Formats: sequence, structure tokens, C-alpha cells
Amino acid sequence: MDDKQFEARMKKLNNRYDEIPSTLDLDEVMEKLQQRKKRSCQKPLVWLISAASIFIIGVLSAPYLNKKDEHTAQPITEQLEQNEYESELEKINNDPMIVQFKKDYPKLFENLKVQLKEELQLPEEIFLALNSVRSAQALVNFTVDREFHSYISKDFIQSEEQYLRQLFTTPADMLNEPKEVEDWEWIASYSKKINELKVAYNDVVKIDSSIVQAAERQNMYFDANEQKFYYDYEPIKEQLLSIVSPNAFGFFELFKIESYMYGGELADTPENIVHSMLILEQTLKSTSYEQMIDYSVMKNYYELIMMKLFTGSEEYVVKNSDGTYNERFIKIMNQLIESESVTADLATAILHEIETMGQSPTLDKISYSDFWNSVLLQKYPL
Amino acid sequence: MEEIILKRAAQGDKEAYAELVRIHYKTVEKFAFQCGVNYSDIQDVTQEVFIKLYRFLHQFHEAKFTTWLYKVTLNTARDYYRKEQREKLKEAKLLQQDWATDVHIDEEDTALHEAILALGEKYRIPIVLYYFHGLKYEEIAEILSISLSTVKVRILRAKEQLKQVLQQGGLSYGR
Repeated sequence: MDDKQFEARMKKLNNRYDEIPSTLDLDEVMEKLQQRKKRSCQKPLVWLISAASIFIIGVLSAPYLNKKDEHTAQPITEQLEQNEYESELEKINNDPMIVQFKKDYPKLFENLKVQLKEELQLPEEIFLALNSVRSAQALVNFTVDREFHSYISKDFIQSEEQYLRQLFTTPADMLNEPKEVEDWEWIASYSKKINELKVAYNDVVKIDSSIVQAAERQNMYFDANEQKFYYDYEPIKEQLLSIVSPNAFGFFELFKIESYMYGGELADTPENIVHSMLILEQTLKSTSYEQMIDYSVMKNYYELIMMKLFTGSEEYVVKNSDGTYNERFIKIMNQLIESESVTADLATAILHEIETMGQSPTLDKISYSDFWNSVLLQKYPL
Repeated sequence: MEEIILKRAAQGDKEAYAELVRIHYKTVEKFAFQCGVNYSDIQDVTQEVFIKLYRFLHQFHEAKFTTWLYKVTLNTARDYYRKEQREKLKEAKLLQQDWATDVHIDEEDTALHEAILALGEKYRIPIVLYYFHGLKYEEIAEILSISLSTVKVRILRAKEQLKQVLQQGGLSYGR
């Protein structure tokens, strides 16, 4: 097992880890915190009772002492402050705006949930397990139960509602809403939603036409042969172009590429894969996305797949049994040159060696870093 | 943005703390699972992490919050192992058959996951943080309180061990 295969296996496992459904109940955490706080607040009272007990025992065992006040209490000033605080809290939490907000928020949640369920057509169980739905539910529960410590404004309500709406926004909705963030941030959010839905649709056992249509609205298409949903951005290319730079398209292509590799082998024709690699090159050459995790993932996939294109696989052989180079391999090298891939110089050198010597020493000693260096050479010309 | 939330949470603002939990709970759950916490116990361990964090939030100052979060999670997971060992639970339980029912996991992934869990902790944690949490060597060194070169060596050795196990067809090979 070489490094690239190992990296690919780790990446694949990481994706599985990311799919593990969350088990955390935010409400429960907050409730436990509340309980612990109450317990810690009760500690001084326990000390007070203990001290009082010692005092009483002392009084009983010393009859010569005169009767004294056996009652101990919180200092009056503290008691007053506490009462004042509680009365203010009560006043705040009975404020009509807060009372109304606590009534309206769950209604908004229910409406958005119904709309999203209708839109996605996912079975109840899978729908409710969506991270976005679970997060929204936790947020609503928390909001309804929470104790406000200050009065709220209309801006506050709007921002809370907006946050809830964002959780229910589908990838298709994102295409029609104005983009208010940087490209990379938009892509990260869009990718997260796409990944979540891809997993959800692939979890559906009984697939009918309504589910297939709903998935298509989110650009997930059902492959009847493979019996799985895959993402394709071709039908929304124009829309995406109006939202993000063409240089970012490598990220959308990355969704497709993940299904190109199966057990370390290419699962599509090398001709099609060259086309995808050219799109990835555009993104890899850009300096705008280097901070994204998916950028390094893309780099790994690029190197791995390029290595397959140059060294072949079971289906796509580089050398024939008689030692001559396969015609299809030569065509792929020419395709890379004609399409001005960053690896064009490498492919040209290899073809020249084959033509003049019948062998290619460059190809024999090719390594993963040769492909990345080709990207860097174009990104930062000497 | 997170700095403001942190500051508010440290001052006792529960809503801010809830927001902090919402931002980070997936990371904690994932890391706890990779530390060897049984799938069915992740919820409890994650809860414990966030309760601990809340209690000690006022102590948090200049360090990177996520680094601290990983430290607390690791310590909570260690407490969990100790408890597990006291109760003499079989090691096989840690292989977490039950997660496979919730996630589409094939034999390849299971083999790799088992191989990672079978690594000694000093190798497992650095490789998990590096590959599955995207942390830099420096950050891992800080979380584990070890030197940068030790981190590099441990990741390298962990990779070698994993590759060896995978080449032999996983842990179940030859059983």
C-alpha cells in the first residue's frame, strides 16, 4: 500500500465519521448545567445549616447559657438583592414581546419543517435525523425554555428567525438567494448541505418517483444501475456562475470525482476524467481557496487520479503485452496536451521519449509530486 | 465572532454557551468516538465535556479555544476508559459494532477504523487529530504537551503500523 492509497482510505473513513448521526441533546446539557449551578448555590445553605446545628447542640449542652435567637438567616441586604433580581427577571420574562416571541418561534419552526419535508419528500425518520432539522429543533426547545436576562428588540427577533430559516435552506434555495458571504464560505455551506442530502437520499430504502423528483430539485440524480443518488451541477452551471467564480468549480467537480474512484481504481473513462482534472486544475491554481479543508482534499484526489491517468489501471492499460505503449494511453497524453493541462509539458516529454526511444524514462520514474509541481509551476511561474 | 461568544459565555451568558456547544459538539462527538468511546456512550461523554468546559470557561484565556476543547475531550475520554476498565468491559465492545447500523460503512472502512482503535493511544491520538481533524503538527504538540518532533515521529510510526495491518487484510486477518 503506497502513501496515496493510504491517504485516500483515510479520507474515505473521515467521510464516514462525518456521517455518524449526532446524539447530543443540547437541552439536556443546558438542563444539567442549570442543575449543577443550583446545587453549587445550595452549598452555602448546607454550611449554614451545619453551623446552626452546632450552635443548637452547644445551646442544649450548656444550660447555663441564656436563651438566644436560634434562627440564622441570610443577611437582609442579600435577601433583598435576591428578591429584587428575581422580580426583575420575572418582569423581563413577562414582557409581551418575549412572550409573543416564545409563542411565534415554535410556529415558525413547524411551518418551515412542513415546507422542507414537502420539498425533500424524505421519509419521516430520515428527515427528522437530518442535522439541520435536529439543530433547529434543539434551538427552538432552548428558545422556548430559556430565561431572558434582558429585554429583546425587533432586530433580535429578526436575527433569531433568520438563523432558523438558514437551517432550513436547501441547496436549491441557496442558488436563488442573494449571496452575502465570501465565495469560500458560500461553497463550504453549500457543500455541507449537499453532502447531508446525498447521504439522506441514499438512506431511503423505498425509492419512488416523488423522491427521485424531489432529489432532482436539489441536483441529486438517481442512478438506477448503481441504485444510488449522485450530485451533478451541470444543469445549474449558469446559476452557479452567477454566484461564485468559475475558478471555484473544482469543488463541485469534487463531488463527482469521489464516485470516480472505487477501491483505488478509476470508475469512469479516462477521457471523461481528463475533463474533470482540468476543472480541478483551475481551482488548484487559484489562491482564493487555499484555506479550505476541501482544497487539500482536492489536491490529494488530483495527484491520485493523475497518477492513474499516467500509469494506468486494470481497465486502462498503458503498455500492451508486447511492451509497446497502448493507443488509448497515447490519446490521453495528447488530450492533456491539447487541452493545455498543467501536465502538458510532462505529457509532451513522455510522448517525445516514446517516439524517439520507444521507452519513457520520465514515465518510469514519475511520482505524485510531479503532478503537484506542475500545478505550482503554472501557479507561480519561474 | 467566536471570541465574542466565548467572552459572553465566560461571563455566564447561557445563550452564548449554547451557541458554543452548537458550533463544536460535532467535533467533540467525532473525537470522542475516535478516542475509543463506545458509540452508545458518546452522548454521555460529550455532555460531560461541555459541562466541564462550562465550569472551567473562566480559566480560558489566550490559548486557542479548539486546542483546549480537544484537551478536555481527551481527558474526559481517558476518564471514560478508566471507568470502562474498572467495570471490566471487554475490549471488543470498543470496536463499536453498533455505529455501522447508523452509517453506511463497508468492510474497508471497518478494517481501518478497527486498526486505528487498536493503535496505542500515543500513536492513535496524533494520527486522528492530523487526519480527521486537520490539525497542524504544532497544534497536536500543544494538545498532547509533547514536542513537535515527537508528534512527527508518532504520526509516521502510526502510519507504518496502519499500512502493515491493512496490507494483511485488517485485524481480523488470520483470526
